[in-house]
Amino acid sequence: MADRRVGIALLAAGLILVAAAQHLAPLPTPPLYDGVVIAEPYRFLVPAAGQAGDPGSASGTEQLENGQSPLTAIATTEQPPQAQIFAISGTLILPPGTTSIKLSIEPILPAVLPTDGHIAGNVYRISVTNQAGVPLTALVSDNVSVVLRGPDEAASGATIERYADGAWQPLKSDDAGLGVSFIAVVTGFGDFAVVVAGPGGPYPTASPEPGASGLATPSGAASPTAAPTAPPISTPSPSPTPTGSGPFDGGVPTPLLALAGIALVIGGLGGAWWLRRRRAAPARRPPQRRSKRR
Amino acid sequence: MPGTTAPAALAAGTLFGLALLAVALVTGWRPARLRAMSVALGLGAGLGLVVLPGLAHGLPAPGLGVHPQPFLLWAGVTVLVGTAEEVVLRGALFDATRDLAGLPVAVTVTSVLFALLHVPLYGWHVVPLDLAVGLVLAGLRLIDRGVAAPAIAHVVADLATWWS
Repeated sequence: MADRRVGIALLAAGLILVAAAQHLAPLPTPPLYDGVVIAEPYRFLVPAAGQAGDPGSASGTEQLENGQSPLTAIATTEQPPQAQIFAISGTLILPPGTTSIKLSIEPILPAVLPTDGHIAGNVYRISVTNQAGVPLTALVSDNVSVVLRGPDEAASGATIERYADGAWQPLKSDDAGLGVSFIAVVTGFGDFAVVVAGPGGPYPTASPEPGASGLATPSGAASPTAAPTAPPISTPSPSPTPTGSGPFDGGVPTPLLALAGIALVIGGLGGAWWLRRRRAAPARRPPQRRSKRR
Repeated sequence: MPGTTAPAALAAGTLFGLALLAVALVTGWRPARLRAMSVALGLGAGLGLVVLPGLAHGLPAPGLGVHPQPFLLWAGVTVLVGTAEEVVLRGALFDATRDLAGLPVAVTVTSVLFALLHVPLYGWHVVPLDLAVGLVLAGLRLIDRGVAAPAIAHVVADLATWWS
């Protein structure tokens, strides 16, 4: 009976904490997901040889609910999506005269490259405006979020950066897990990218002349010999920052997971065997002493 | 279990689930008869775990990846993995830790391990939420006096993501 009472208390407390956790620090992912998921290879806007191309985009129009912004969630079409926006009801600040909200996400070539690292994957232009094209904003406390997925090279750590006022600015980013994804709270929209520290190879940028694009070397980039996988710079086929597209692209490396799983199992089996032996060991009596007769 | 092909992902999930069950069996865990109360409790709590986060904040879950077809095969592996985790965590490990160090330690250890198990797939920011979920499942374990209710709740929450 005591167990049941404690159990009910734990159940109630746990459910309250689940609600509180999701309210205070909402996650775009469910709390439990232990099934099977496939992360398709990252799709590059300008793919190199062996890389997947044709990244997706997304667009839509949301109607207001009771004069407020509705629950907003839009994602590009890859699995997992390479760019997503999340905003709960009432968190987008509406300019006067707003009657509907227009959303779009599309991969683009950047005009300028970041100076504190190199872009991994695509740059995404995320636009959230009202019907007249006036951009919407949000308060940082409302946790409106952008989730970007990066290619395999971002697995060791990266930051979401936003291009604003002529420069790339890093945002406080957290690991969003599946598919090398990162999440950042935003107060405005625009161009976003996953940026990895250190120099990278040539990255295509948007050219001011229509129909042409150029290669730009990120600031601080090492010489080409320091990046053995970087293709030679050549026109008119620019190449993105070279990344691998091997079997680990799009997720935690499988061999690492397998090793971790094996270690867990061996540790579990070892601990279980030790526990069983400890439980099965009979209580030892002290040996009886025979008195010596002289 | 991520992977870039359906067979690889399904195989990895199956192996992981079977390995966990093997660990539980070695410790002496054996399945008990399934009771209607356990099913009702597990279903109710599972639905709560699905609905409550959405009510609290209203965020939908994004696409988590390609769902390997067919559904029944994916669901089977998902049931196996979710159940196996509960058998090990809220079954064998809970009992062993409670015997050694008492109930509070058992609840804490199993809940922390449960949260950490999800970090490789979701990142560290899921720890607070999954700790809370761990408490829910530990509560079910105590109410039900077995792993059936927490296993059902866990599986219901996992299966619900197919439609997210």
